[in-house]
Amino acid sequence: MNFKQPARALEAEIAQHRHWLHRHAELSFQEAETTQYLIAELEKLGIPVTAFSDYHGCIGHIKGAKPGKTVLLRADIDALPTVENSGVDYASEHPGVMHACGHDCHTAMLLGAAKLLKNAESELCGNVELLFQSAEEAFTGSHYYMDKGYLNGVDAAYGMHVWPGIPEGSIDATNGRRMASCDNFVLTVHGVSAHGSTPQYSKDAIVAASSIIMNLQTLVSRFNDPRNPLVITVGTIKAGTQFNIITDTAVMEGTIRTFDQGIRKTLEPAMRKLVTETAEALGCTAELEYHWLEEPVINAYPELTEIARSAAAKVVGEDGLVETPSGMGSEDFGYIMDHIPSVFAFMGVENPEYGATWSLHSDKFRVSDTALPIGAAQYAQFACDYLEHTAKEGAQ
Amino acid sequence: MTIQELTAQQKDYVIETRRWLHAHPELGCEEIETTKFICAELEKIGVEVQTFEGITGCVGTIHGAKPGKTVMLRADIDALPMQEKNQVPYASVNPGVMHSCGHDCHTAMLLGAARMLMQKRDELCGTVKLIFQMAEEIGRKSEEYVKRGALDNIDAIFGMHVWVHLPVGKCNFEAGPRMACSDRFTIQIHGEASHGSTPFLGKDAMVAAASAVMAIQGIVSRINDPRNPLVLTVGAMNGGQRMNILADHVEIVGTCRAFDREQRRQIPGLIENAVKSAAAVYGCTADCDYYFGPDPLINDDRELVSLAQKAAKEQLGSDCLLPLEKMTGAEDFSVYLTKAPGIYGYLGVRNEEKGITADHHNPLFDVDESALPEGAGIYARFALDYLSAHAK
Repeated sequence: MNFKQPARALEAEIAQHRHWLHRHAELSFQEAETTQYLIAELEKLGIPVTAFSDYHGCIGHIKGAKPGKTVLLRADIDALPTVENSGVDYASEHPGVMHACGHDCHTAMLLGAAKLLKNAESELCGNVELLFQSAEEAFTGSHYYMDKGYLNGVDAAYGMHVWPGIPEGSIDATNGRRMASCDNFVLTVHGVSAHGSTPQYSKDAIVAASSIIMNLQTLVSRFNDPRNPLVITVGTIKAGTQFNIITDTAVMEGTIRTFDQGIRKTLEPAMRKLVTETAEALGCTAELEYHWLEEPVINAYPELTEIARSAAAKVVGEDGLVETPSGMGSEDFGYIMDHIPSVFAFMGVENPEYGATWSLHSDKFRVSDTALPIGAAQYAQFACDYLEHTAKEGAQ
Repeated sequence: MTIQELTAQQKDYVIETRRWLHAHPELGCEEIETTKFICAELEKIGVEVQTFEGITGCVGTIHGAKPGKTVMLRADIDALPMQEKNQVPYASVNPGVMHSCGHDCHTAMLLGAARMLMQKRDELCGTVKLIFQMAEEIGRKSEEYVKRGALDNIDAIFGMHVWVHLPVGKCNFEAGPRMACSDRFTIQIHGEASHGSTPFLGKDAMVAAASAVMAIQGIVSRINDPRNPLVLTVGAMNGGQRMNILADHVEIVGTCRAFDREQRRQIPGLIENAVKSAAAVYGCTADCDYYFGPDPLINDDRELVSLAQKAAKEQLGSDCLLPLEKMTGAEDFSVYLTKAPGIYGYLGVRNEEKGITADHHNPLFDVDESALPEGAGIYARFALDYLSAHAK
């Protein structure tokens, strides 16, 4: 089966879905209207849907006529707290909320794939689960479906993100590290305040905080295996009110990105020790709130990556296959990957003619509708090819 | 009458005046009622009063019967923005404003001294100027009087602070550095924002700022002569927008305290060098702004120190002088010292038995008022003695 042409025929329909979703952008954990829309559209296609009374998003179920494995296709559905400035005529009708990360595209593409796969039901060697996931931007939106057991019985999963750095018409399904883990922290240093002229009566929270920021650099330079990319960023500091008062509190917030799960796990205790002891050395104390958020996105199953690549070759041709370097951004599909053999791909949407050159999360972010059938075809092609491939393997 | 007799005579006046002032505190630069009160009190006894365009406070002039030099006595008149917690009949009636540093005492003592000196005009060999200065708590507002010529042709100046860390009946007039400068530095570290996950695409102002704060510590520990006390405090450090965005700007605000004039002049350059170098390591830049606040207060005129010590001993007894370590706080009396030689001392007002121990700038601050008529006597004696010592 090849879904390229059938997907192209759905271009107007997919664009219509996408425009509706874009206009009705909803923030993480608040995707009520979006979920209603998805349930209605899936039911129109005759696809049974599991929805949740205590959570947004939904799962559509397509049963193939032939026996086989179960494959999950995932799209995220939430938008961002951004005032839209993209200039498109289907701009968000919800003030201050915008699909600036392209999740409207993912959702519309997966709706397109749902129709393609439903139409091909009789030839499918197994089942397809369509996960429309809430709250990707909130780091942990994917946990619900996994933790509640709704993904039990899934043999493999596929996720995809539209990517402005790749030309429209190209797809990147590359083995290995794709996106970093993301852990955030809040670091509070407590000292003793005093008049600025009498440091001997103080425990200076600012010197302790500065010292901690400098010592954190050594986690990258001396603790980490240099072959593992690691970023520790202190993004904000709030400390003190006035030049002549030594402050007793400094609050810092930051983020940690890496790929190696082993190092990631040793990092928290190492950081805690370094932070605590640096503060103590200066007579202060430190509190570290460490939030484990997103697993790295690593395409660790070469066989799945290969299926995704060959599916992409059918959709965009061999010339459309690209390999881009891994990024230090993150994606909560990592949580699904940590439990289910998976592959994550990037789909090019850069289209200078359409003005689709802005980065993700930009208020001017744009994607041309012409890109969407490619994504719909790629979703469907991967599912179909995976089921076929594993059915053959089972038969052998 | 002797000064001793005049002290007894003015005792009630000084204490009552202090209580009125204490009940009616005004913030720095806003001492309108206080100034009116002082002017009226001076004019009542025939002291010539000068006020100045655009500022509060005033200068009174007492012309002695004999010719001679001009000596200035200084009191500051402003209060602080805090709510008084003392339960006394003369507690502040102005909510949120309190004489918690004792400037009410200084003003009352100097008004008492004016009354004594008016009665001693026949013996005065020269001129006494009484400066009632606004806004000591604010920075270096004393400069406003210098700018308006109030310090022109002054041969010596005397100032004194009531001091709760010295027992009542004791005082301190000591040669050498007494209080530090209070300068302010503001540093803007500029970097370039990027996503927090891609530091290599930006320039991190946060690490540059932390590095700058650490580099400043090295100025104290490695560059400064350890025999010269130096405090460099970063009081505030704020920057960044979000935990996952590389900060493109961090502001560092701090203060410098030093006692040595030459050492202090080098501090802005040292800070700038340390901070700019630290920032440059991370591809960031730094803008440094240094504001020279009150200068260090140094009693470096030995003759004036001896004259003040003599006046104090005559007033309070031969064992009244106590040593007092120099302090890293500041006092804008030092600005006057750029115009005339001067002496600055401390008058004990602590009384443990009466429970008078609360620190300056504390909402429970108070003084043992029995010290105040004596303080007025010290002011008057210093003026008389100085002018006599320099009479032709």
